[in-house]
Amino acid sequence: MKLLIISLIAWLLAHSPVRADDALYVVVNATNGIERLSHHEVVDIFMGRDSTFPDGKDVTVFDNSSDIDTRALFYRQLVNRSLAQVSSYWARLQFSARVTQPRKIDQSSTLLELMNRTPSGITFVRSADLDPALKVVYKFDP
Amino acid sequence: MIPNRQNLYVKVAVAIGGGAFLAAVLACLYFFWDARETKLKEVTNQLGQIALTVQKTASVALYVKDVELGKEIVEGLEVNDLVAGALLTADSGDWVSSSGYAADDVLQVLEFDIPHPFFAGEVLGKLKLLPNTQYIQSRATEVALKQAWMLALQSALIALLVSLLVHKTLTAPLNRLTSNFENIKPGDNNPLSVPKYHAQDEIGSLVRGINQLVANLNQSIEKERNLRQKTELLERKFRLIFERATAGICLIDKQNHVLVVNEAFERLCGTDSIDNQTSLCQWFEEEAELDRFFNELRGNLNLNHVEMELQLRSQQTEQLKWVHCLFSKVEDNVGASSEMLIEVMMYDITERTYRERMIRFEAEHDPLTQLKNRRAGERLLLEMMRKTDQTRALMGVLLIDLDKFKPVNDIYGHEAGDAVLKSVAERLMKLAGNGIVIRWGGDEFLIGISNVDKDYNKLRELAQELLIQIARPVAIRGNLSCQVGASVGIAIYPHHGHTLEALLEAADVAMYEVKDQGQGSFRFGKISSGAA
Repeated sequence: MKLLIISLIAWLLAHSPVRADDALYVVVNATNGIERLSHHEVVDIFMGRDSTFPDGKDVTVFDNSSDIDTRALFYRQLVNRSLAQVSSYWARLQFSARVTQPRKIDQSSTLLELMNRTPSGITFVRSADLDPALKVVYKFDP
Repeated sequence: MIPNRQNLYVKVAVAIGGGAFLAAVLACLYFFWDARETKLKEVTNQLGQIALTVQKTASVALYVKDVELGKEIVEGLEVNDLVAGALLTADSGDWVSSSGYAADDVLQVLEFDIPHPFFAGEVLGKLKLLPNTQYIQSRATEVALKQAWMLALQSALIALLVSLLVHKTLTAPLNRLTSNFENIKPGDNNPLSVPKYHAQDEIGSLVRGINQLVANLNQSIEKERNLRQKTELLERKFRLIFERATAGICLIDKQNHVLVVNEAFERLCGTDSIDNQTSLCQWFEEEAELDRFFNELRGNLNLNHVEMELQLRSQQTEQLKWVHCLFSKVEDNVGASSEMLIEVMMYDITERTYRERMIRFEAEHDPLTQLKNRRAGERLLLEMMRKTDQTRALMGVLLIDLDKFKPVNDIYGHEAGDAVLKSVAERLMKLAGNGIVIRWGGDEFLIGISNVDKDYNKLRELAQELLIQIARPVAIRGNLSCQVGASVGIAIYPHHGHTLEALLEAADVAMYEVKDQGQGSFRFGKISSGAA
């Protein structure tokens, strides 16, 4: 079943325009003052370079690990890296005191709850998981 | 000789050694420099590779500005021998550097771009590496030196090997050949031996060539020697002919200067020091004529040999020598120019000449009175007549017949008669002057006088004086003396005759008339009717 879904996604990605529903969105807490982030800013936040939003407020990154395909697609679209490469990247910084890998959230519900609870939170979701409590600050082109 | 012999070998060895040394030095210098450059380039490449190795991590470190990680990277780089220090710099400014990095050595610093880990084309900063120049240089030098030494050693070995080979195959055989060659003596037929192993090469052909040359040389020396012997023999003979010749031989040049003389010539001239600055002509009585003759001989192409008799002034005797001379033109070809010489051969003919003169004298003179005899007298008279014809003068003929001569002969003997005749002859000679005195017959004398004056006055005076002189007494023996007289008949040419016979006839007639009329007087001939 899982394999079928992966193949389907791969097929869809390869052969048909991605449906609007399948697009990935970078979202923040609805109370956050940031309205838009550039691709560069999103990369800097997610890859540990920046620990604050452009307005200077702290940022808390949640790595959406509820669905491996979504996560793979996200990093592919974000930095054009596979998940293994991303892991390797973080492994290099394992002993760094300054940067830590974003916390991985395995459950969609947990993620949603954490996002609601954390005004400085930021994560990525599929369109199906969009929620009024979340504000879209960046949308990947399908 | 020995230093010379070693010269070639030393020269070759020095040339090879020098060449090899020079080549080695140049090659070593080049390879040293090249090896060093290569090594430096290699090190630069290595540094680039090192930089590439840490690039990704450095990129991440720069991206997240992780000082610890950056520090780790640069410190790690410095561990490398080639790196003296490293510096990671972000676009905003220097960020993290290793302890060994000194910023003052900017020129040597190698810079590598550190790219953005996620966005290709974006540059986050630079990694600056300071090469460990000292180490690199020493390594490069070490490598280069090792190469240079190897090369030098190789060159030396090759030079040594080549020298040995050259010595073995070329100079040593040549040396042996040279020392053998020195022992060759021209004329000896001892050929050189071909060195071992060299029969087929150039040394072999050189030896054969030398042997051939020596053989040829010996042949020509032998020929030359034979020829020289022959020439010497011939020369000796010729010299003998020249030196021992009885004829005086000499050569004279264009100025008539004596070039060469033989002993006979010197003997003839009476001196052994004839220098070649004296003219030949001055030795002769006929000096001026000879000088002219030589010029003519040289100028006349048809004239090659001339013989003549000349009088030579001999130094020894103060007396002239008669010499028979033979003059011949000789062309002397000396190099390109040819000179006209004259060869002179002289024979002493003095004795012969005197003998001839004596014979002629005897033939023409009366042995008793030394006067001309009748035959010679007639010839002389005819000559005088011819001259008289030419000058249109007069000539007188006095026919003298002694009176009372027969009694002298009869009384005192023939010797007394001869003495009288001699005395009369002497007296006539004294009186006649330029005239011709002839003993015409036994006691008959004849005098021919040229240039007689018209009135015959001089002739008359002469006749008168004749009579007086003849009449003087003649001493015979001791105190004994006798006296004769004379009857003289005179004829004048051409008044008394046009021919000698007619003239003599007229004189004879006149003389007999004197005899008939009492002797001791003179009378002129009658003018013949035919002649008038």
